[in-house]
Amino acid sequence: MSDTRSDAEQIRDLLAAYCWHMDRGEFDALGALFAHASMGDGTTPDAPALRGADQVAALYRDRCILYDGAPRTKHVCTNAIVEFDDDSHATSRSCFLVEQQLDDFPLQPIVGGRYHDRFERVDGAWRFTERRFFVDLVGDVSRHQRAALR
Amino acid sequence: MLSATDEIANLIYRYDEYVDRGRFADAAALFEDATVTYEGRDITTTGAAELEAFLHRSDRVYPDGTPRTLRLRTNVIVDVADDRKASAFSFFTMFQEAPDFPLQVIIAGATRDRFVRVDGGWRFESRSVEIRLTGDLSAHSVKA
Repeated sequence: MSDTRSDAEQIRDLLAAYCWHMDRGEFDALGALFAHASMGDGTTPDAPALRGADQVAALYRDRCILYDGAPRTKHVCTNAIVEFDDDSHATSRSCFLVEQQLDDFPLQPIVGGRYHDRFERVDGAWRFTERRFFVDLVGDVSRHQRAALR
Repeated sequence: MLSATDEIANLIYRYDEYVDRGRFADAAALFEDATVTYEGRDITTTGAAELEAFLHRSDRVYPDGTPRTLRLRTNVIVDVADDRKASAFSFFTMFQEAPDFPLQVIIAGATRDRFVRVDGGWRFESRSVEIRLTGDLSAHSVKA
């Protein structure tokens, strides 16, 4: 069967791939999604953004607390509004909510917010060109991140 | 580029985005010619002005201009009947974090929507909201 996924579905797949690699602690694969992209905090647009796979992977390796190799989180990414500027440029705005559970940390939501993303299609494949994240709702992230979010 | 299903999903998500950002007038404008019914609560609004007024009654707004909520919309099933009519079913789970109110889930429910295509664009025709599960609404409802 040929791959008949629409452009919007392929873009949603990229959003899902980020969550998949994140929750498995696969930071090289996560970084690779941003090989041609910049990533930064949308609430501080003047702050320098990360650029490329190595910088993104290094940040996640530095920030995220791992337990036997994984962060014991679930990143739920929903509400993806996908729009096309033309046949090779698209944007999406989506919501994320992170849940976490550990032996001494009951299952709970720990942080929620939004992603504003840009994509381009090169040689038939969509890829990220930009991610801006907005942390809106903050719970107990002390077991997930080494730095405070707020 | 966008299929009818994609366009309709975008509409559903855009409403959630506007409400979560405190942009009630923009949210209500999506229901310019539509009714919204809350099942079992004897609440029905018709048109944008009534819906906007309802949002101001139902969603407390904090100093940052937002209700401090995140509406996660999932399980979206879109059924396009023909080139003018469509319907959708979806779940929503609302999270909130506010001053003195730790991040938690506060409402879960389901939504049934009907859409009509006018002048080349899909619009809401009607929405029916079923609130199934409620948590602590003390930081959400204006009249808690």
